[in-house]
Amino acid sequence: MRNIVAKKVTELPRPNGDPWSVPYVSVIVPVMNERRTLRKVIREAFRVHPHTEVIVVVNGSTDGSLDIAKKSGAKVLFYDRPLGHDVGRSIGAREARGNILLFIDADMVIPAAKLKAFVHAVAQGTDVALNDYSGPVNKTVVHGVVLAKHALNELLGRPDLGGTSMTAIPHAISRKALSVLGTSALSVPPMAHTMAIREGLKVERVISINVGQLNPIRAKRERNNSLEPLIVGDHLEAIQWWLRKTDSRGGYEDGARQRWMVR
Amino acid sequence: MKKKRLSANRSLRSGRLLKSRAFHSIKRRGKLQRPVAKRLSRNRSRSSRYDHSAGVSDGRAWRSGATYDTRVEKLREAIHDKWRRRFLETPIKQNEDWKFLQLRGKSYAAGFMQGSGMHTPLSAVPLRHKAAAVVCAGSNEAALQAVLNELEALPLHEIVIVLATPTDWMYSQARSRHNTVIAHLPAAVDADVGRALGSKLTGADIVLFVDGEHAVNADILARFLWVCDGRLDVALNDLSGQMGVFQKRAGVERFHEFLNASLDRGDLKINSLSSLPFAVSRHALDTLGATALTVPAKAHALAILKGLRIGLGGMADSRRLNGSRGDWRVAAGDHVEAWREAMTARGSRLQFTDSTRNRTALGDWER
Repeated sequence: MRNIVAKKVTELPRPNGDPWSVPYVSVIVPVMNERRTLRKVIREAFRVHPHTEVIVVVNGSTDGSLDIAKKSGAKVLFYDRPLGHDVGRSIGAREARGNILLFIDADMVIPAAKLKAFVHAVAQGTDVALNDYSGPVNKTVVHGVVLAKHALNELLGRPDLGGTSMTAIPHAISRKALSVLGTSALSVPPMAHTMAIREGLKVERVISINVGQLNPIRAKRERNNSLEPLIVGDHLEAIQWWLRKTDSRGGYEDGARQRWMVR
Repeated sequence: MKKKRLSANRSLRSGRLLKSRAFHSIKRRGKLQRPVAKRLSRNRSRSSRYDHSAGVSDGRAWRSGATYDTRVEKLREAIHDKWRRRFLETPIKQNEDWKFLQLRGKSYAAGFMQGSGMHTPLSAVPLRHKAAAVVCAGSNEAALQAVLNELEALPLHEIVIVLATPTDWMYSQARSRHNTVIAHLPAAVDADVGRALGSKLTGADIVLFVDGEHAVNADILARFLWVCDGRLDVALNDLSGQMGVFQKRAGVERFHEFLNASLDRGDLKINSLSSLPFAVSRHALDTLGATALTVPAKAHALAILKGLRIGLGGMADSRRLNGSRGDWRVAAGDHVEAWREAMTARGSRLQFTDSTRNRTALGDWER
């Protein structure tokens, strides 16, 4: 495996080189100051498939994450300033050469055995394989992000997806999905999610990994500097993208209403 | 003898009312405020006793006066009018407390009926402005009759009844009532459209919209009128007590809840103009326009966007949660329209801006 340290990455088409050197799975890991868990996360990532490349997008890190990434055998993309939430996914996806792209976070160690389920689902024909985790919903008032995810799926006519979303990791997508969605949209995951459904890609839930329970540190951050407004905004941006692609009622008929009667 | 029995009856009634109200207030406000609630209720019962005796003497005076009429609608008119005056002439602090003033109104009305010797179901609410109700009749005759019975108990200037292909019996029911305006449509019409049409037929300052197929107690409806009497522009039905856990809620409730959250009114929870009953002020009607009411979810979003004062009018049982308004596709389309309206006014992310992502790092932002 090569190490790439790049300040600025240019758009690369998928290289069609020697099939033996081309990975089957690309695992994309955005990193910002996640020294504590990074080594383990990369190790698990390499285990998902014999032909796997791990792409680590280090951005705005000052805690030595970069050194850990470099020594791990992963492909490393380095940005000295923070890219912002989920932008690393787009940057990583641009570099990916695999048939299947698996997205995970650096602050949460998920065993390879579980990650394999997502890779397997895409290998079996799913285009977008989602973590079947809807968040805590057994209460009267749920978290704003949980609400947004459910509402978006409902609006897109996919209530079966519950509160699952490309916002949550882990999820895997096919090469076909990547070419339909484009890499940029991956930075605003609900947008990519909406596009995938709208473009008729096969979007399915795979297995449930309780990311809330796995990461108490994230819960703490959520209390101090909540991502809720950002992610709610992402869902609205997604809805707006969809509204531009559809008629005034999103393709849903008006029932028997005779509006012209009221003027 | 008769007098004695009546007054015993009265105290029993208001006592019961007091108990149930106090119970609710303790439950909702929590233990800390319990002593306050207790003190208030003592004051309440004292002042409502004065209201009762005032009612008795007003009732006697009315019976022996020149305006006396044996028709019950005249009795109702007299009580509403006299009570409104009395209430406005006694401006005390607790007058802003709904439970207190409802209790006072009950006592006064009971007294008035005792004094006049005539009785009718009535919900006294002192309104400063003229109020009207709009109801779009469904196919259920008995339900319409029950709905009209409840509306009659309120101080309404007029009741607009929208009848589309009614049965003869329904038509005569509507005709036989006092103060009604009947809109007779030749063909069946969607209830939202019917109500929107009905709202154009009244010039009242407060307009109450009720379900024609599901009667709600007049005492509950009264509060919707009261909060729209200069306090709010839009008074919604509060369904949050009946909504249960998120997981088990109907899909369309996600739309209502997320629409509120996305317009920064998460406090409204699942409540929306698409649930009956609701009341609006003249200002709200003029701002939104009758046409807007044909798509309630859009009207709801518009009301928030236009800065109208939106709050809750009370808790009434609604057919929405019981699943009869279950047309998912219509609800989805309505909310698409609502969000389109909001995004036209406030941009694609509304107030939830993205200031952290470095989108230029992506080069050309596709689409």
